[in-house]
Amino acid sequence: MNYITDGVKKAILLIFTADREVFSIVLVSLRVSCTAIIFAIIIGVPLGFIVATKTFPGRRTIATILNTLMAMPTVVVGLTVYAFISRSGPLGMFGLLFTQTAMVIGQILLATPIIAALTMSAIQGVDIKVRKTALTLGATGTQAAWTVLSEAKFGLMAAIIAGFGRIIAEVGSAMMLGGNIKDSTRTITTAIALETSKGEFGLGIALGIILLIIAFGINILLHRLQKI
Amino acid sequence: MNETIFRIENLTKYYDDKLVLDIPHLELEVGKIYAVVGPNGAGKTTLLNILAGLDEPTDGKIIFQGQMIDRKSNIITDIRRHITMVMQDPVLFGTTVEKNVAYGLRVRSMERKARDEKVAEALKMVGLSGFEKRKAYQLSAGETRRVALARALALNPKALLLDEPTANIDKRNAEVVERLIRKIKSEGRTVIVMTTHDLSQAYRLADEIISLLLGRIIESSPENIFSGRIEESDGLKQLFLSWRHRGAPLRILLNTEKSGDAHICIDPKNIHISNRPRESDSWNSFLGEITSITAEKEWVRLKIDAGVEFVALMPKQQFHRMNLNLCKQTYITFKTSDVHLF
Repeated sequence: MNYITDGVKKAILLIFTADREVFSIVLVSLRVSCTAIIFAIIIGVPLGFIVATKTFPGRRTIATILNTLMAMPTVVVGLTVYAFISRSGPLGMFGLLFTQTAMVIGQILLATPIIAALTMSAIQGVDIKVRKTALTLGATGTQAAWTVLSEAKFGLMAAIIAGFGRIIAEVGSAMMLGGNIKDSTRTITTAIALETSKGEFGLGIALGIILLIIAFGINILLHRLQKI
Repeated sequence: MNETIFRIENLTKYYDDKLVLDIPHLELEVGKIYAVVGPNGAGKTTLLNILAGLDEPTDGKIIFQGQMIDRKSNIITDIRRHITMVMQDPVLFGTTVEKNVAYGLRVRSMERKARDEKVAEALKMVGLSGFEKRKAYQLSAGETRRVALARALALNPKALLLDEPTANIDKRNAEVVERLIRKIKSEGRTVIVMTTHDLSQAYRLADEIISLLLGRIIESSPENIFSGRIEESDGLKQLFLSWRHRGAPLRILLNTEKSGDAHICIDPKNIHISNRPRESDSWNSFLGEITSITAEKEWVRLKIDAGVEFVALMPKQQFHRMNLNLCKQTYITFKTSDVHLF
């Protein structure tokens, strides 16, 4: 049992002394996941909105695919992207494997279906009369679409949080695409996996605590935003 | 005659294969109130949606101030900005009352100060001054309706379309809404088209009544509309209603060659009140009880329950002569030739 208490003690020390290595790992994690979530929002929100509001052939198929992709294992995403960007893959010439860009690509693929699918259900939950009301009050098509989105803001927020929660905590694709290179592609989760296998519980627990704090912070933020 | 603001030409609307609206010609004038009446499914809301440019006709044209309403045209927003519809059970956006009322002004890029003034003015009109900061979800149904009305009025629309403006709200709020409708009319700049189930409200408020049945305008009064099945019995064509009259299905004699499902209507002025039945194949007679008496200028409107409710309109002098009063048993009679078939 001692190694656990020792681990916790070391973790607290690492956090409060702002250890350089811990700091670097957290920064990589946040940078990769924040970049990925921005792209996932840009793709996922309009996609979810269109599937929810427009009728076109293949709409139901897209909705089904999005719902399926929400549960896609991270290692499958890792494998797929790896196949494309590895040296012998079709995108091999860009030399993306084991870079933060590769990790961002993997995380975009993981977060986009979640954001799109949850946006879709959030938009479908908005009273159909909202859009008509906006139009009859003189809104343009775009203004009416914004109004519908803003009526779904809590659902959208939840979609983004869920997407972010998934990618900040995933380890499979980050490990396969980033390669867990120190100071470059080592994220909180890949570091925890590595430290645990080395028997270095201190750093692992410290990073685990930080990950929980991030998750907690996001939830507090969400709670605050809902009160506005 | 006032200026024509809406002109409908050869309008038809189908949902799937079902005809819901068929109006060959209709003109609406500025400064008037039109009440669109008719049973559920008559096409009232569809008509409003099409006038508002929110729904597209299957065929035909709607001209608003000389411009065609076409949802695909690039001036549709400009046209829509003169026409505002308040829906039945309107939705307010999930924000404050103030932001709801300001919505239409904001999308028109009106500056803050002018916007605030308009919002205050509109809320005052509907009697909700001081409600600016309230959250929309905190309001009662009646208040919601009034805020929705204020939101439309803030825009000074040239056409105000009201879908069942007083349905599902309490009497006090309904009175406020009716008073407002009269006030907007008195200013004379707006055409108001409202749908209603309440015929007495239509008579109270409207300059003209548009009576819809199965998507078509019927020229006669919107009262005494019945549906049933035409069958031949005792050598005579009769419409069998599902209601019962003195223990037997109500049967109305009519002149037609048709059979099967049908809708009929009888103008209240053609329904006569008498102390005796008329025993003739060219007349219908039913014994009923007077359930309501309302005076209207030189006419008196009577409702008579004869298993089903009939409305009769009789000159005031005749009414006084006949000494009629509530709950009195009396005969209603009307000619078979006065039964209009659809």
